[in-house]
Amino acid sequence: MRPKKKISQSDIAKALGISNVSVSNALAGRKGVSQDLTQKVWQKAEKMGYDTGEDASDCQSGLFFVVSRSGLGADTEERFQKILRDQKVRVKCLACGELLDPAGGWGGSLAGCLGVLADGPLSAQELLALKEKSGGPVVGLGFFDSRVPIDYVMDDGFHGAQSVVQYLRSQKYETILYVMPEEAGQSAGYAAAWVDRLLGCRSELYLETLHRGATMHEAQPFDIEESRTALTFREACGYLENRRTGVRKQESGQRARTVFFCGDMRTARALLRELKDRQIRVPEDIAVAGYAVGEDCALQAGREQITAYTDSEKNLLDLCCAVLRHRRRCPEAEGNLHLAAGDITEGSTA
Amino acid sequence: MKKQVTMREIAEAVNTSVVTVSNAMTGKKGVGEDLRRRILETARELGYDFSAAEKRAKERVLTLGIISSRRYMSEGSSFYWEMYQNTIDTASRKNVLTMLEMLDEEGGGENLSSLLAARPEIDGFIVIGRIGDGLMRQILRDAKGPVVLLDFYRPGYRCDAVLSDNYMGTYRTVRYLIDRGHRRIGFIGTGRTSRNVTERYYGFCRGMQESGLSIEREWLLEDRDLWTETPRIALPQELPTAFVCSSDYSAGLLYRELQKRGLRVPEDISVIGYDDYLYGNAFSEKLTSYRVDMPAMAREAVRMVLQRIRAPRQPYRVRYVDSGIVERTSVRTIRGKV
Repeated sequence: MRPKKKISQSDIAKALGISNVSVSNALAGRKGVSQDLTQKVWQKAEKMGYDTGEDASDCQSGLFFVVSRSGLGADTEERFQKILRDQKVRVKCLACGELLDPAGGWGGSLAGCLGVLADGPLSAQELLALKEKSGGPVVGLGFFDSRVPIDYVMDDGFHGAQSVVQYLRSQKYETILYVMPEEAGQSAGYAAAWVDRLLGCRSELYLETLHRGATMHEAQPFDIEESRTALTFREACGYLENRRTGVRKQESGQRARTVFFCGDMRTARALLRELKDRQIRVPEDIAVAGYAVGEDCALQAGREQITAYTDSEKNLLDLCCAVLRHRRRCPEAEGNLHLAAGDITEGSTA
Repeated sequence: MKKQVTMREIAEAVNTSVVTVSNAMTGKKGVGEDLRRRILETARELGYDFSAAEKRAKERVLTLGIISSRRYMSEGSSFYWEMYQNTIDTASRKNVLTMLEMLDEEGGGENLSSLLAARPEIDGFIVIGRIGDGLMRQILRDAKGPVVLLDFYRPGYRCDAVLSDNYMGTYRTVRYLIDRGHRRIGFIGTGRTSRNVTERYYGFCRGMQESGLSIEREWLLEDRDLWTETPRIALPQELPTAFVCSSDYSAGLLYRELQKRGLRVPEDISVIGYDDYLYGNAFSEKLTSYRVDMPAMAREAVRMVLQRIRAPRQPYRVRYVDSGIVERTSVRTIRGKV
């Protein structure tokens, strides 16, 4: 649609006394216009209120702030910069306080930045302050607060866990034991992630009983967690103790029928160590599967590649950029939750 | 990689609309000579790739096959009929042709198969709604192009799917109630007959668990009697302050039951639904509900199938489309909250 009352590129051209083509080239970052003139065009455009609506890669600064409670450090900044190389943004990692405090660390301008990523849960006040200060979109990564209307990006714990159970079934495992990650010291945002995975696992196991023989009429109408389908790490070890004779050393060529599905990689690795100590072979005697998000994806237990649902950092960060770009184009009030789509990585443990 | 000059950029440079630029470049009427000249000059100066445009114009028009079960697509307004409309609307906007096949699963007999699936000239398929396993496998076997399932999925099928996010959607409805002061909340739905409803139940669990609320067994109600296969809700003596319903349809049933007891909505009991699709019911004007974003789902399905036509070897994906709550008047705010 022809923009009616908005400032057009022709207006900018007229104001500066240059050609329309030059303005177009400058705004799009194409060659054929000097740095100097590009600068002038941008400043004029901003002053006149021209709506660029372009991708951040065309924005002058292309700055992308990654903010967390205590700051992430230069190593992380470098890693993010590498991951986001193809997104054409400049990553700047800061502590929340540094960005918000006028007297604090970041003295530069936020104008023209892609947006702010809150890496890890921040308080509602902090998030709203970020939104105001940056004048641009804010996206929260790895948590969800329904009271604060910004965008959120999370891994899809529910469906991810479902897909692991589906995969394990397709590999003919009969008994799937979910092992919960230890929640000590987890803040509310992260706790939600564990809940999603656990519920995803339970839902798939429940749906299973419907397909597998239990007729509809016999199946329990609602799965209320009284029959425990989830084990703590200690209970998982207890299982190994009690059932040691039950965890049969399989004949060669036979496969394990039982698998531990661990809610995160730390638990999976700890369990693998336990199994090694007890000289139980994986996957021959018992199998192990995990759930890896972000950084966890890069780390695998020694030589073993753990079979897991994986949602890489790149996948999540790319989605954050896409969400911020979209939000710049359509800045409606309601934020939304965007769930990343991961994949099953087949390893050697299941 | 040098970024391609788009028609939009040309339009902005000349201060006209994209449609005018397109018409000018394809030689259509309605563009003055002067303007046409200016557009073409500007396009050349900016470095517009004319050859690519010509190639695009010559590309074959794609055809998508849309398959659905007749039981969902019978006349009158129907959830799936609307989804079908959204699908063909999206397709036609992308200049993609569509063909519809309705399969009569009830009357078709044992040898029922999709004829459309076997046609080699169809570039891709969208299956709307649930269809039987045997039929589904036949379609996946015969189809020469990619298949995307819309509003239906069963693990094990080697194809893409687009679903409403049952889990997060219902979670949002629980949060909606909690944010308005409700603490005693029930759930209505028959998970035993549907994956969708089961997932919604877990979304309900998530919402309750997050706020540390206990799930009371007596407030978990099925909405049909599996033995007689009739809709039925057996309300207990003591009721919660609000019910999360797994569909607007069951919300409608609940409303009737509440009315029978002389209870008003929302004054006595609050009700929130799922689908935002309730017709032929007095309750539909009041019912606050989680909207299933059909246009977005249809768009996503068309997008996915077109993408897979271009890049057939990507891993299969299930996409979940989330949306929001449509507020009407069936939920009361309990005093002192929000």
